[in-house]
Amino acid sequence: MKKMVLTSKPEGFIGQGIEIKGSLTGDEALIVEGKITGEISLNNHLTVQETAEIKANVETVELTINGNLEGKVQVSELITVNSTAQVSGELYAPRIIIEEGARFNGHIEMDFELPEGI
Amino acid sequence: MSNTVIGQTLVIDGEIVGDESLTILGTVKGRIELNNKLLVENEGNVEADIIVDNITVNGTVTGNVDAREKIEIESTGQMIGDIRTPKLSIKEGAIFKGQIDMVME
Repeated sequence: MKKMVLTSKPEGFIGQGIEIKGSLTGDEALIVEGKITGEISLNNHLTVQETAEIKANVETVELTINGNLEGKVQVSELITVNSTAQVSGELYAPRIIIEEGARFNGHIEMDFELPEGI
Repeated sequence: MSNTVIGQTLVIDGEIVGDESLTILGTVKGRIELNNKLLVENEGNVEADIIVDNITVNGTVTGNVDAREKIEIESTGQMIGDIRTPKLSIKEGAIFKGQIDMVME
């Protein structure tokens, strides 16, 4: 697996008034305040803000969840589930942080082999 | 209201619907329906049918565009598709191929 340099300054931003259905792929950091249904594959940091509603299978390097997320999530480094988050589904990552107040339903696995390609 | 930016490395295949302004520097394939302004920057590449209030094209757009207010194809813009709009500007240097239907307001 190639190590990605995570940029602190996001280049992509999906605002609250936007809804995306389909697949979203890319290499840049992304902040989502809107709705995404489908698939997200990002070679960087994904931030799901409080207003966001995501129903998707997600593959990313790092993930911060402050909002709603439903789906299967595979992260190669770190998942942070903050207190405002509502998550249901499966989380796979070597490191996962869940803050008090967060709601989570589903499955967590912290030790797994990375699939080819991420 | 905040402006949504599809950055340069992002590829979206599907549908984007919304009511806030959208700037595309990356690639979008599928369908865009926006009750606001769409800006396709130089690096932007859009292959989609588009319904929007107004659109400014600096990059490449392939697809049919229905604008409620205005279509602007700037000098670096390339557009292939049928368009429907009450107001249209095509700058020198721009490339356009398609049908134009200037609807009366």
